[in-house]
Amino acid sequence: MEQILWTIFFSPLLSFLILILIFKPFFAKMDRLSSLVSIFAISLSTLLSILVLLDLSINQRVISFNPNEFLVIGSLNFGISFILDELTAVMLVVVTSVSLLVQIFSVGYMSQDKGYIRYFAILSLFTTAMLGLVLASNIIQLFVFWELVGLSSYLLIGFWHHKPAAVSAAKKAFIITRIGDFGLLLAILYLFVQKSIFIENSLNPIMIQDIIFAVNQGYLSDFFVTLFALGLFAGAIGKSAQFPLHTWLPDAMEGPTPVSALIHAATMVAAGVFLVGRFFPVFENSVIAMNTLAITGGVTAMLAALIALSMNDIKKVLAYSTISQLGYMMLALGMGALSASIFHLFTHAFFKALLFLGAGSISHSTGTFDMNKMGGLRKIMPWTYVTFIIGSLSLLGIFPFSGFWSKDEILSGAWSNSGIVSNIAFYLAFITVFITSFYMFRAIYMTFHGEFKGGISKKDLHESPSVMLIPLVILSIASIFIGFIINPIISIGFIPSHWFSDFIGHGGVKSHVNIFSNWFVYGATLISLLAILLAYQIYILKNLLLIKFIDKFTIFRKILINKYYFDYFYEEIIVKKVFLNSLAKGLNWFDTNIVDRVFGAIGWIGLNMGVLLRQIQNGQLQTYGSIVSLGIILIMIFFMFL
Amino acid sequence: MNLQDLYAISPQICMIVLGMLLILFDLFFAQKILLRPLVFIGLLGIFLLNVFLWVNIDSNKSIDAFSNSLVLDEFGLFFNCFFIGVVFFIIFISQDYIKSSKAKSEYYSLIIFSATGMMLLTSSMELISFYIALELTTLPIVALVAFNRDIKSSEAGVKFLILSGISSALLLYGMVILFGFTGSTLFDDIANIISQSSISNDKALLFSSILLISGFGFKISAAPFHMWAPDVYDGAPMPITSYLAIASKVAGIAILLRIIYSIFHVNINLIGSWSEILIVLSILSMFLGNLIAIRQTNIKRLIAYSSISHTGFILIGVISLLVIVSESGVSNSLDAASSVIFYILGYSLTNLALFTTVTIITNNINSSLIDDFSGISKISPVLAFTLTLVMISLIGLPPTVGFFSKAYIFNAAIKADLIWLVLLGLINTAISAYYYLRIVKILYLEEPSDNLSINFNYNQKLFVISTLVLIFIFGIFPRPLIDLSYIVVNILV
Repeated sequence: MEQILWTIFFSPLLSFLILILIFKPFFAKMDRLSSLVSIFAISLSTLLSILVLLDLSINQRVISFNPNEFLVIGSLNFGISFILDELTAVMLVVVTSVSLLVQIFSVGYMSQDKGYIRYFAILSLFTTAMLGLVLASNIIQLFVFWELVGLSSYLLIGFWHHKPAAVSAAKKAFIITRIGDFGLLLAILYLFVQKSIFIENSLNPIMIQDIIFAVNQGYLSDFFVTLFALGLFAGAIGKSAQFPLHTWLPDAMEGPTPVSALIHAATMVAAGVFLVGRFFPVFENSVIAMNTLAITGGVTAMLAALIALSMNDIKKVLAYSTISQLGYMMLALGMGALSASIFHLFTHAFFKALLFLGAGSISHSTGTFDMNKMGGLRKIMPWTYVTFIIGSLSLLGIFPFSGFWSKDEILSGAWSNSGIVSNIAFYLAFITVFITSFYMFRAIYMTFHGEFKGGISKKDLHESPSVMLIPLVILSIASIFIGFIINPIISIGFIPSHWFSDFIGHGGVKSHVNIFSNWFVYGATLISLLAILLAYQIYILKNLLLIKFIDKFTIFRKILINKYYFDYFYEEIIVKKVFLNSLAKGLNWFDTNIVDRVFGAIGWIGLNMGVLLRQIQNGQLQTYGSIVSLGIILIMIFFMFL
Repeated sequence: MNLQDLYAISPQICMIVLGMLLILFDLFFAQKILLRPLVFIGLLGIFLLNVFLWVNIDSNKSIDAFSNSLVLDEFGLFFNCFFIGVVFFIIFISQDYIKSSKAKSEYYSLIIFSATGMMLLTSSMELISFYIALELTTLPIVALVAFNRDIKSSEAGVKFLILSGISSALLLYGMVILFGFTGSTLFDDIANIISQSSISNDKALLFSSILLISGFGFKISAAPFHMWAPDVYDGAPMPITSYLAIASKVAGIAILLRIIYSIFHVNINLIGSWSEILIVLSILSMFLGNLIAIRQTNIKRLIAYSSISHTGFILIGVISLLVIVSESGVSNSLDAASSVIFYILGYSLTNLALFTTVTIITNNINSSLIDDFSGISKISPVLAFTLTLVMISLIGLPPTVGFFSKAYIFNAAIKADLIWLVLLGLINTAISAYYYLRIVKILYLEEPSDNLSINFNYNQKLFVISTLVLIFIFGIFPRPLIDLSYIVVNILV
């Protein structure tokens, strides 16, 4: 088993190394072969990951091992150490399978690109980093791979580095997630502050299992647990683009679309959810942390969905939709419904990847993401159309698509809790269903229905090649069935009922309510259909009454188009006013007048010492000989006669 | 002389034979093109012979030869392999140089003879053979340094000849006193005699030690005996510069370890003085090397000063070894000794990459001024990236092998309670970052000149990339190298 896990992790790494060290310098012309190498490596990982998941579901044992010792300082041992539990197994399958499909799709999508090999190399690096992250069993390793994931995301967002927008989006993503990572780093450092408690109980403060054990045993104070959990959550907010650090994700859409599908929809942004899931017992021990999770998640879900209403760029719509769905997952975690959250992560990975790849397929044909320049594409691109509809219905949570099962798990998780926070969270989630349905069908109607309004001639439009359609079809099948298959309400064949919930929740899920007995299951479907109808009235039938009614709310529209002025607030107020004008000016004065002068003086001494010493090195053999003799004589006087 | 004696020095004999064969081959055959393959095959064969000997030797046992004047053990075998590897590398990067200088077989032979000297040096256990081996090491280098036959190169050759003559004289003088004092040239006998308490405090021993250390200081270019290094590094052909920087320095450190462990470790008082003298050398080397390097404009001189400062760092390891030996006995000094070997390995690996890239660059731009390196990242990203990683490794930052080299040296020093020396080392690391990173800045942030182009073949590219990968891999998984360095010094301790 250890070897299998090591292979899963190592094969994309090897592929990255082969691409960057062999193909890029030596065989730059053989780009097709390079993508084959990469796809082969990731297929191997995918296959093994599925095997691992199956094996774990049968044997149910947690494996942890340390393949490499990196540095030993006293009793602290830093090394690469892997853990395989249920959460890891699920994440392995999500990461590898979506990576595989995205790489296949990219063969078509990136076929004309100059940076083809670089692209596949970074994709492999990303997969490696992601696998290292989910397999990590110590928090240092987790942090290293967490940052490596961020790095590859940065490289891929800025992949077209000749586009200024891409470069600034990459920087923005990197810097804003770094703010969250600062919290994560503080949490880790705080662990070291408390290390004596760990060592007293012969635990290792960097091992995740030991941390969870210490928290469960009550070795650590409540204050510490809350602070630690909030630090972790800060990291999760940055990575999973939750309010108020969500602004980087829509901009990150400047990267290639398959990248958006893989990193900014399915895997990396889910890393925040994974992080909270990994330390879930820590969060459960702090009411404040749990409530923060729930409220942040609910507010994010709602506000992001509202922005999605006003976006005209199809990828931006999907980006805000992703933020909103991640909010759902956080909300579920805050409600204590870990399995529901991970279940939604799992189904969301597939249908959101499907939607993004669908958007990629559309732009491959139209050359734009602006929905105002689309329309009527359903006849030209039937495959893309049908798969996009499937993805959307799954996102909406329409029975029996996979999103239905996971979304209703979340809703029932929130409903079954009591208390004011849970009630707020539930209604936020419930109303968001309506908004989600509206913006998705608004996007579908603008893109696929009506007349084509694009700038390019209609003859140039085409359905994408089959190498791009196959991943779409596979993901559609997953989007339809996977929710029901892995977590059925009744036993089907060899799959026991509620398999997934029991698997993630270690069988400890309180009670499996039959979700069809709750009113909101029907309610949610009903409001979804209502929203679709409303969108149909406005965007297809152009119902004047409704359009006029909407126009009365221009102020809201303005707020939404400006994304609640978050970017304005960050860039104009915080960055320019607070940082540049006040803080930076003060520091600049300190830096130029005090720090620079001091170091300038030191540097001056250093430089001039160098000049002085260089005088001796005058090239004259006599000088050299004299210096040697002088040296020996001085040493002798010093050591023999003093 | 019996069969066992021949067995023990078979690698050295084979090297000599290979060197002579090359000269003969050149005399009788016209196909100069066959020379290189012949050298490579020959070296590979001798390397395999070494590996064979290593496999067949018991660890912790040594085979004595020629009535204890030479020895075959893992320490010597390791350095045999090391020097063969370095020769392999030198001949590899000499490709362009040989073409342009019309050098013939003597170029190869001289390098091989000098390396043979080093191989004998690390396995000699007797003063006379030690001295002969030392001269065998040095004299071919004199010829090689002057190989360009222009003014600069000849001047460097003469300087090297005279100054190494002085150092040989110092060493010889030290040895003579040692011999006069003990009446034997065998290391074992000398050790026996100087361990007797009645004479352990004698000033003559200290006098001879100072002379010996000065001689060694010359070989490893430690300040204040470093004066030859910048001029000779600058004047010599590039491949020979790298030979001096890598092989010559490593040989010096190796014999220093050998002498300490086979003679002087028995006399605690003497060891104390050794460590004090070496502390002076170490601090001087670090500060002189780094401070002068800041103002260098020529890459070869910069490398010279940088290598002087690295000598200072290696000496920190040797000093902590000596301190540990004098305070808690030889058996506890294993960590410190292995940290020295590990530093040597990391330093050599980094320098291999450094010299390969710098040789390629200087050959292409026909200049060894650092300012002419501007904007190379735009023309050859591979070279620029490798050079950057090399600089990071030379500074001693992760994730490179240089980081662990320094970390283990400092670790040894902390165990020997030499925290103040570690602090001085860290200050020097900071100083060195200035001139190393300035090169990176020139490579990346400045615009390339118009007609700059860099051509290098697949072999060179492969070599550059593999050194790059090794620096990186050992910067993450240093275990194999650390284990190796423990094996190497195990026999000494």
